[in-house]
Amino acid sequence: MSEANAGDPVSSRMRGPGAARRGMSELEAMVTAEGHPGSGPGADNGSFIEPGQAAEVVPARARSLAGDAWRDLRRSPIFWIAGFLVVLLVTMAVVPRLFSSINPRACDLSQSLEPPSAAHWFGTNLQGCDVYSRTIYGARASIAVGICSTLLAGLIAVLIGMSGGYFGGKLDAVLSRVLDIVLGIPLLLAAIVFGRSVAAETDLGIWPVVLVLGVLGWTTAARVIRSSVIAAKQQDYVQAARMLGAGNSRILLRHILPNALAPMIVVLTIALGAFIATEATLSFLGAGLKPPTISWGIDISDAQARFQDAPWALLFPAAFLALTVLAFIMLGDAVREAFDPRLR
Amino acid sequence: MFRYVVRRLLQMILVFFGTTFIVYALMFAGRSDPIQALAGERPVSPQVRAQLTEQYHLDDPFFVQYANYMANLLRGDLGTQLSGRSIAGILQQAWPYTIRLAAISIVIVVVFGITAGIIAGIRRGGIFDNGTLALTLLVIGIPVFVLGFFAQYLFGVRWKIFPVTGGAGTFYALLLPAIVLGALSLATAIRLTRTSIAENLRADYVRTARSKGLAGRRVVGVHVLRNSLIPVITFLGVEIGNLMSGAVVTERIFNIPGVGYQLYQGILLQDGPTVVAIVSILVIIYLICNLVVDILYAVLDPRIRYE
Repeated sequence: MSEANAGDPVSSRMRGPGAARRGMSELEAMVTAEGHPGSGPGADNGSFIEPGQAAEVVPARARSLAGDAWRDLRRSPIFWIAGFLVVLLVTMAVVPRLFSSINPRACDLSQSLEPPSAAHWFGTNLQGCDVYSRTIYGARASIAVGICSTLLAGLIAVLIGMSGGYFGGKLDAVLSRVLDIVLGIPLLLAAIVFGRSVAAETDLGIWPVVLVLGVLGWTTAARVIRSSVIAAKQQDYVQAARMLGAGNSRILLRHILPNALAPMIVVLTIALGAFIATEATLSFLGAGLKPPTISWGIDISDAQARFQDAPWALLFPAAFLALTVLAFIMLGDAVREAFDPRLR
Repeated sequence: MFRYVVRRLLQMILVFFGTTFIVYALMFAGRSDPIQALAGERPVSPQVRAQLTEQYHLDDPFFVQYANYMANLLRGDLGTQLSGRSIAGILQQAWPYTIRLAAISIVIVVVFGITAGIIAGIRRGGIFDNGTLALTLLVIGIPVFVLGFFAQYLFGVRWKIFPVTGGAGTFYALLLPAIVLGALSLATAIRLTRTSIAENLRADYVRTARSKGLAGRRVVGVHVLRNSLIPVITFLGVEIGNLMSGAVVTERIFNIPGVGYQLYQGILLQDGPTVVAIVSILVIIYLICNLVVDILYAVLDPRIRYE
């Protein structure tokens, strides 16, 4: 607790009896529950600072929502566990060599289906490949798909949600109908059909899956950012910026976006876990990633037939898959709880 | 209200044609040569090719083909599989399995989801609450197919409590697949009920009811429940549509010859007509469920009014 606080001007200023601090955050809970994203009780002062600086000043404020949430987060063990897992898994995806010296594609048929041993920690699969190394290398595809499709979904959500929320009127009506239509398409079915017909033709790696998940998965995030943009555009600092002559693009990018982004990032973190699970499901059904790519979904599907003789070939990728999805969902859940004081 | 329903119906038609068009385009345009695919490895003589092209209107522009197909579909003619079997006939045999599976799932979700959610919501912060929260997080985190495998292995193969496959189609054989299919909805329903109950317990009308001296059981059972279950019921309505498409995975794992299994086979064999027909029907079900839920929302909660 104390080492986490060190060097943080926000908390050092507020350090005091635990009860007093608790009382303050509950007062803020009432304020923030009224629906002013990114603005604490002191935001009025911030609006008269030069427009270019307002966006930087608000998050650093002693009693801003972000600062308050961060203080809560640091006390949450779930946040630290999930955060540690995410960092570990991302490292695994970026430099798998750090964890395994065995080539996952160097398979020896004479060592087919060997149980876990000192040489092969997780045993070997039907082709005699090392399951441990395949599990480690499998993180890359899953996490790459998760991050890329989340970024794509986030980009679409920001474009559609922000322009709909900010400009309102006819544009908002049209964009909302588009959103309703996309929401009406069952994700799994569409992804299966798309994955099967596009990816079957050529080997495009992870991109077909990323495309279909991103294009169909942006709806919730767009709704969230739309409503926070609607709340943020009525704030005083936006009015002040407009009076000072800032154009729409400047107001949107410098003032509204930084303040409306936090709730959407939370939704997207949870979506990232869901995307990874969907990718594995698609690969398992043969409609996602294709064999030269090492993927947990494919390995689980392959190990299915020999499950009774060699459960390790299925159990380890499955455990890592579940752990990855859980880590992202838990991280998002912890951040959401910190940002949503009503559930305290 | 009437205007709202009309607007929603128009929107539904748009989504329906949009989705089926995309599915149709992907399934039929992605394939190189349908006649060769039909013949497999054998060479096709020009006469046969010409006759098949004539028979299936393969010379027509793409939009005409799609329009023809949809016209047939809406008339109830689902066409034939590449192997020549009637799709309607296959679906007739497959539907009972999927409907039974989804029905058992929904009952499990309603009974256990709402009960556990109420208990957790009332005793917030207690052992039961924290236990269910952790458990539901776990279920939400584990992808359904992994869960299905573990359930099949542990309960079917290792402990032999349930049949390994659900092919028999009896209630007992479908019970385990139904639990797996409904697991995600169950976890979400528990969390939704819990949050909703916990929020409503703090409402002013609850305080009023308590101060009038009403028994705790009546306050929770009548006042709180009626308000708290509205979001849960709408969620369940949407879930019926999701369960139907989620059956693709569950039916594959447990070898249940339902609609999802047929869809999976169709995708595997690149059988365009089957895939488009089944996806179209599933999309229709999904859309109708969504519409009914939205209308139900207004009926259940008088505070909500559609212009």
